[in-house]
Amino acid sequence: MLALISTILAQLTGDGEAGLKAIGGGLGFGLAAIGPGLGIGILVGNAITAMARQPESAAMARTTMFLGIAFTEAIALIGFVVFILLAP
Amino acid sequence: MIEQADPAEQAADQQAVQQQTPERDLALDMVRRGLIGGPVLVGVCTGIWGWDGLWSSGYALGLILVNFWLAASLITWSLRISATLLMAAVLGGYFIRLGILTGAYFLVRNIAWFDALPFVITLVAAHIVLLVWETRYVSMSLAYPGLKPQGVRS
Repeated sequence: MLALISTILAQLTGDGEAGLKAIGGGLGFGLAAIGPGLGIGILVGNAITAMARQPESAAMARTTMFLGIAFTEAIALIGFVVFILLAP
Repeated sequence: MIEQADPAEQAADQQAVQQQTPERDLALDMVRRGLIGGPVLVGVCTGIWGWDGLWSSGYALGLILVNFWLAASLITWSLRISATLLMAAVLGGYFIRLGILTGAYFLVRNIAWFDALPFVITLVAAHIVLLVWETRYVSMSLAYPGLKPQGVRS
């Protein structure tokens, strides 16, 4: 499948290496976005549980949740950087 | 035996959750820190890459600050409505914000002043440095639900 996409891209761009770089960048960005997506889902789910159990500590849970989300997003940003650096 | 919660108490708790905006306070504090510390990073990029570095690095810094503010605003807005919407807003917002970052990159990638290296270095460095800086500050004042109120010593 990858070889097929690579061949198509190589024909479109006239450059096999550029096609492979485009595939690598796209795959890297996509794969790097999966992990943080799962992480944010778990994080927010647990924060909602915490807020429901102890509404008086909701602000603390929200603070921790926001920082957790931002830290998790850093991984997706690194995938984005790889995509930019590999983009033809 | 599980005790039934008092509806009046539940409503008061709900109202208290809706009135607080700790994530927005955090984001605004991060924007303030970004405007203080960011010029150092932009200056370094300018020193290495010249004017192209200045524009690219400044653009990346702006994107990161808008990204933080947008994330916090989405959480605050959705929590005022319901916890279910919070889940949808955070996950949907994550993909939308990634899309905005990608769109912002494609918007400028072929413009003469754009240089990818200072852009990505600022993007990652500003994000991580601002987060660590803010986390360090919040960790020192964990007795408070977010930022320590001004004028309080601990």
